[in-house]
Amino acid sequence: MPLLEIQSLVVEYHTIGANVKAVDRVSLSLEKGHTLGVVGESGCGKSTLGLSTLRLVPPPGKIVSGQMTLDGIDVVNCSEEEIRRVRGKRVGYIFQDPMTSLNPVKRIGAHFVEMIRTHEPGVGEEDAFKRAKEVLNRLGILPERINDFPHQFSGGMRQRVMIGLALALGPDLLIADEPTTSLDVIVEAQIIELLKELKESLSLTLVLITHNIGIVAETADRVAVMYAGRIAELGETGVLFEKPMHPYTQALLNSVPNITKKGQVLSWIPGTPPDLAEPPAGCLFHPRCPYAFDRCRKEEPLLLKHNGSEVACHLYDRR
Amino acid sequence: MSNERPQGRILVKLFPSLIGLARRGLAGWAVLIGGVIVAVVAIMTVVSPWISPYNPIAINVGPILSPPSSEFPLGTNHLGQDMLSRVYSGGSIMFQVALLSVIVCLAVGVPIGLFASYAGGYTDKVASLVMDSIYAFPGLVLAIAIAAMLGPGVVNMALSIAVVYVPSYFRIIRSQVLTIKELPYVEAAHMMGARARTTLFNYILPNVIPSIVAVATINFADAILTAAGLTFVGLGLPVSTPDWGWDLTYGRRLLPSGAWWVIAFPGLSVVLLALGFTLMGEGLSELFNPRLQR
Amino acid sequence: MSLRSYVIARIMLTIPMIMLLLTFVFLLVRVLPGDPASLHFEKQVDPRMLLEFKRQLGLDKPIEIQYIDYLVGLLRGDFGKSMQDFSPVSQQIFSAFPATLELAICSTIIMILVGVVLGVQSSRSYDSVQDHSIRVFGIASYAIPVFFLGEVMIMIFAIYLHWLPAGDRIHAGMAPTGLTLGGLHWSTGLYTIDSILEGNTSKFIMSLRYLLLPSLTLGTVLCGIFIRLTRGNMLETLQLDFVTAARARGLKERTVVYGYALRNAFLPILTMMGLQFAALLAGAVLTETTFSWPGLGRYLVDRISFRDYTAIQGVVVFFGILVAMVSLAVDIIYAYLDPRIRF
Repeated sequence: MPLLEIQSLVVEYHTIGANVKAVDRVSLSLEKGHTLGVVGESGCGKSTLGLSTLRLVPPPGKIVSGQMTLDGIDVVNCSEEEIRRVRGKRVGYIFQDPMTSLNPVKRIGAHFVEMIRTHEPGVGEEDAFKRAKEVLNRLGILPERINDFPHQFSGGMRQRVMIGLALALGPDLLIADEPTTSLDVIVEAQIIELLKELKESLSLTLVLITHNIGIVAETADRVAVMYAGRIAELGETGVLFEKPMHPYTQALLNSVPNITKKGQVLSWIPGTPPDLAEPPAGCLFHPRCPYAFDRCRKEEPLLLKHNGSEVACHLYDRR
Repeated sequence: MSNERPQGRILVKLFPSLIGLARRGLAGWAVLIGGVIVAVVAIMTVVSPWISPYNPIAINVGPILSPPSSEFPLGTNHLGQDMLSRVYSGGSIMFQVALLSVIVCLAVGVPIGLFASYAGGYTDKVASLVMDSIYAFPGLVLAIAIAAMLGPGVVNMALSIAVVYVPSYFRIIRSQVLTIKELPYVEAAHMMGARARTTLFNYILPNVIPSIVAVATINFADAILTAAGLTFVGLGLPVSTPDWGWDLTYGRRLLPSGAWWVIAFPGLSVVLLALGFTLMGEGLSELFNPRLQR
Repeated sequence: MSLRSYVIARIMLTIPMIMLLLTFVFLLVRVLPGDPASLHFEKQVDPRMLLEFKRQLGLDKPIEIQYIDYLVGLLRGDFGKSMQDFSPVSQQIFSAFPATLELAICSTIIMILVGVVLGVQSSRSYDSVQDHSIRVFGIASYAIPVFFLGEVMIMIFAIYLHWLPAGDRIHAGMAPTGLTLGGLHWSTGLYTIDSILEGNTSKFIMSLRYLLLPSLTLGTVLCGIFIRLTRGNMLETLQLDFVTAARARGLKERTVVYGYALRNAFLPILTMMGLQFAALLAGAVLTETTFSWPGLGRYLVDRISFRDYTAIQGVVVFFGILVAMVSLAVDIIYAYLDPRIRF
């Protein structure tokens, strides 16, 4: 049974004058021990998708319809208390910017202790502190720094703290939302290595949300490409990178400069992502798609199986 | 979906203000409901001579202190006056006082605000100091002091209230003017040789008007409450005029004997009217100056 | 700008403000039609008696001298003499002030409690019926004349339900006298505190019972702005990353809302308290009249009915100075707590 299963999830943001579908009928499933990469441009809905797995979508966002099962628990309909117990304990979440995600007036150690004692009320403060030091040590942070404040750490260290907090209670699933976006390239590489290593040693199931295709290529087993709230293509990493099917995936991969190819001209995708308050008819990508034809302007493509992957594009829909 | 929009646009143009207001969420509804309440009360007050079953100041038209009944739906007070008629016509003094005070505030506060903040420098500093001193002071106490010295009467009450509220107008105009003064298109007008007066009236004033309207509406509400307060404290009008404020004062003394209707209905009328203006005012300021960007 | 220069600048600003205020009140009582002395008497009065009356009050001197006497007197704590019996107004002020202070403190506590709790609730249930109802309540509560609400409270709680008393501060003759240790006598004039000092629980409870209705009334009418302020700040703070991150760690909602979010929102609430002080005093005037609470407000209203203009002047001046001092203190405290904000 898959660890995480999402069926037809719809998440909307209700504002005065417009209802924006940030996540539109997304379905995917994740087996235990696998790593799923979710890629897309800013605003494609990948962060909202991540937050919704723990029902953390902030108002005016709302999960409107769909199903989500996390290790047997019905995430959409379960009680507040049930989902609260899942958070931190069975699912760890890493946020993009560790500076703003940590409480600036709370010491690092206190973050851990608070969390540990919330989920395991029997644990004494001493023990909680010990466990926190162990976790930090594992991540390469000196235990003496446990009483420092977040702003006293560098970006990379803070992210390690975040990872530590996410893993401290031994969850099965780790969701990383843009874990390296706020870091420089060298630190980014270190963090990715760290994640890979932790994944192995702790047998984690990992969801990696990012706009950086490069890191997805080296860490994920399967990749979901999102565009304007929908999944454009979903498949095994190797296959997707070798033979991308959806025009958007192709354009995305083409836009990454390749240092080995000589004389390469930088390519980009013309146009801008659609205004989700007033989306275009038919396929959401058609205004920017070089292969768009008549059907694309009128009919929304469904996510269908094709050659072992899934793709939502009329080019592959022979019906 | 985009096909429906052109028609939507036409509809909106046909009923611009109303639909526009309702679409603007809670603030729009507040203005709408507040406006309706105020209009209803105002109309009631104006037509009161025609719809009052009895003369509101005629005494002994009914038994003294009789509870609400079919003959006297809102009961009678200790002078045998019909409460229903008194409720219909009691708002007129309040409206007059409030209206007059708003007019004075506009006539005094707006020019001072415009000129002082536009001129800047010493004038601005002195004006701000004076206004801040008045603003910092407990409003009702100041109004009481002024009203006590001036004596009773609609004009005097209005003046007392006006003095207390002029600083509010001044402050809001000043903050607006200071912002607008720096905007590029005003500077551009200057460079094209526009005289100060032109800039002030043609550029700055129109932009300041929405805020003035919002402040004036809230001012109305405050004026009504302060007028009621002044009457309650004994600084109101000669007893013969029907006035909710007086009913409140007398009603208070009658309460221990169980005659709740004398104070209740005029009281509710004051609350309703103040509420109407407050809703309008708060709604307007939210519309013109949305506090929370969501 | 350092703290010290800010404080100095602020004090420099307060002094002219107070001067303006004093001058304004002075002129108000004299320059308006009629002179205060003759306005005091309803009927015609023998001119010699009038002159003697004026002399007693210092109202016969030329206006410039009166002004100087007035200012100098204030520096010495002399707020003038009552027209009724020539007794010093300052005496009356200082004996009535503690009652108003007690009322103000208790009302503030209620105002903040109700305002913050409702504001937090409102922000947590954004755009729901509860949110809208609380917002409407916040606006509506201000529209209710405080004396009307007071009467309604009296009607419900005192007359129909007989739960709470209405009127005065305590049963006659039972006023707590505070603590006497050796030769020293400690009393604050605040009945709640004095009864604690005296060690008398029944007096404490009694003084609370009398204090409850008036404070509840005044607190409710003024809480609206705190509801709005708290709600706004909380809505902003609850959106911040570290709040979502805290939730993602599975922390209890109560911890997240009060421990993380509210901490941020608190400072503006403190400043607003200071700004509302003037409104509190104004409201106290009406509340004291409604509940026959023997404070400064009721004294003022009393003096009005006696046309005691010199006393009115004294009380109004006292109010002005009090408000100026309090807002100065609040500004300084705020600057101390938040060095970013100077002007």
